[in-house]
Amino acid sequence: MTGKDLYEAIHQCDDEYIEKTAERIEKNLEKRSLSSKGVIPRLWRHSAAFRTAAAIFLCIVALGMGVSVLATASDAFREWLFDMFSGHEVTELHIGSEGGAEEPGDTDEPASTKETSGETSQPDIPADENHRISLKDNMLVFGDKETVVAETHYDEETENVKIDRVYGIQGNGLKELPVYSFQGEYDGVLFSFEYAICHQEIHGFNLEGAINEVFSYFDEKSVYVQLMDDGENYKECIAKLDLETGIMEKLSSDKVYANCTMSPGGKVILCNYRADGYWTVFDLKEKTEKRIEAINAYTRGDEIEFLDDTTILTFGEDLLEKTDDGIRTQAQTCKVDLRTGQVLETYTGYGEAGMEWNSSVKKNTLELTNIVTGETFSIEGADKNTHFLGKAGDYAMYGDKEENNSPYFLVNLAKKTFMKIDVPQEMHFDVEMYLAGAEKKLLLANETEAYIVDVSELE
Amino acid sequence: MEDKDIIALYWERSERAIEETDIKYGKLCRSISMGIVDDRRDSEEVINDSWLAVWNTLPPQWPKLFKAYVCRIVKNLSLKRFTHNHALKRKCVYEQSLEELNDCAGHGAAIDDAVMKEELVKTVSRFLGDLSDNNRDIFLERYWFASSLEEIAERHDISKKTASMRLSRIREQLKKYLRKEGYDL
Repeated sequence: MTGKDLYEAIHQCDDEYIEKTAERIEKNLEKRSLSSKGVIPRLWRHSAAFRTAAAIFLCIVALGMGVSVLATASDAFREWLFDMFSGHEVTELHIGSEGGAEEPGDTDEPASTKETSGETSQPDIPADENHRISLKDNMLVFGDKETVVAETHYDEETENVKIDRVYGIQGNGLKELPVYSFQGEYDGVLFSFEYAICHQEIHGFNLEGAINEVFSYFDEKSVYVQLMDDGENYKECIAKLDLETGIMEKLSSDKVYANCTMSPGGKVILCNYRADGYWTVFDLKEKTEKRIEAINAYTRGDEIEFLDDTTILTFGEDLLEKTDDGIRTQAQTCKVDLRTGQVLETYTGYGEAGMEWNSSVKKNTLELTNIVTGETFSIEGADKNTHFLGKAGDYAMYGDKEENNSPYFLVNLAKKTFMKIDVPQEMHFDVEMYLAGAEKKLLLANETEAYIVDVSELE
Repeated sequence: MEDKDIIALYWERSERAIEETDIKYGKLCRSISMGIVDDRRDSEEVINDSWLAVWNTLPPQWPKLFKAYVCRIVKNLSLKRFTHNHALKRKCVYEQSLEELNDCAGHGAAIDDAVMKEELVKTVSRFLGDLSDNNRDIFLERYWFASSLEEIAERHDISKKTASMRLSRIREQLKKYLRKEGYDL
């Protein structure tokens, strides 16, 4: 299929859809012709962004509002938040100016930080001269076992996004993490990267030269990487780097032309040789590689869920069903043993959350089904647009970011508990939520304040 | 004027039919055409050709949904004009749309088989039916009506970046949907 095939298929869609969309276009054309300037003045708004532990860019457009309006918006946000999350520990993140200069009326540090860690006061998040939070234009939230927040900027020269600062969620706050750098050579070709360590994970970024990826598994002194030399003799390999001594150990051949995904315990790397149409499992200790036919060649990395270092869930073969309209395909999920390459179990359907949990809305009930165990549970109060938004750790978020009167549901899939989050319509597109599943926290922010909410216990 | 009355004028062979069509749907059709041919003179010629095409087809046709009928004619003629002028024009919304959909469609060969094309149409229609009204509008504005991101953003009162992100998410949903339906992407 090509893009043109898709374009032509869209062109032949039902007339009803064309009519409805045309109506909206016509209304807008009318509005434009009524405006004396020819264009209706627009209010800039913040775009809604719900962030999970996967890396996604968030862009905020600054509002040009006066301080008094901000204060009003701030009071409403704070009141809503404390009311919404009453019964949960809510900590306001300390906002200060960069370089640690004190703002009038600010305390030295957040009370919770003083009580728990005794650390010295530095703002959790620096604010600009207008006392606005620097969850500014480019933030990345990522991490599997730990959640990390990174400030970025766009480098015009290299046309790449560069990470500047990295924060970890520690206790009830965000703390800046120290950033280190590493330099090495892959058969005479230089490479370098920067990294931050947050408990059990290493986050590599600002990769330069002969390096493709830094895997997040960290065993206190070594990290695994995929190196790449795109010179005259193209080559890629998997290597282990000793961060203390700088020694590089090549583990594989130079022909790992693949997208790679590492197991959580650092035992194996799954390699997708997409051009050749197969996956392999690379054993990091034995330095051996074996084809796994049970994984579809075109499966993506995010369509594989590691249950442990030796077992995964992934898409299985589709079932073909004859219906009155023709032949329909039914997706299946399979559990694969990476040691033998065998399919252990096959399940009907697929789960959006961790390949296990599927969701559907029937009338006003959000129904969650675990396709592996068969467990189900229901949540009342959903609407027809409620759908899966993202997952981190045991937590998943459901809702509809696009409709400002649609509730969110924060669900602990392991405990089958949940919390309904109603965001007032006027705030819906201004509130940002970041799910830190590993720490069992929600990071919420509008343009002037940020809070961390402990969500370890849901109703 | 109601659509059925305009169609009746065509059947009566009254030249007022074209006038009324232009009054009611001229703006909409010009915006579709401009999104594809990206040139005002070409767009006007396409519109004139479209009115002639409608005149020549009504009767015997009596379209159930007149607006969609007219829009399709305008779009088809705009695409023909685009193909004719392609080498000389800078990238327009139509070309940008094709590029965006290319990412969605994967890198396989074009579909030749008529049955498979028909199946794809049904699949895409089902996907569109599953979208929320808002998201379906945004998607069709971009890939059927060839609207620019600025136009989409203005209509939905969102920023251009938000419009771009929403389209990107919908394309991702479409890709997943097509995979689920058995398409090899």
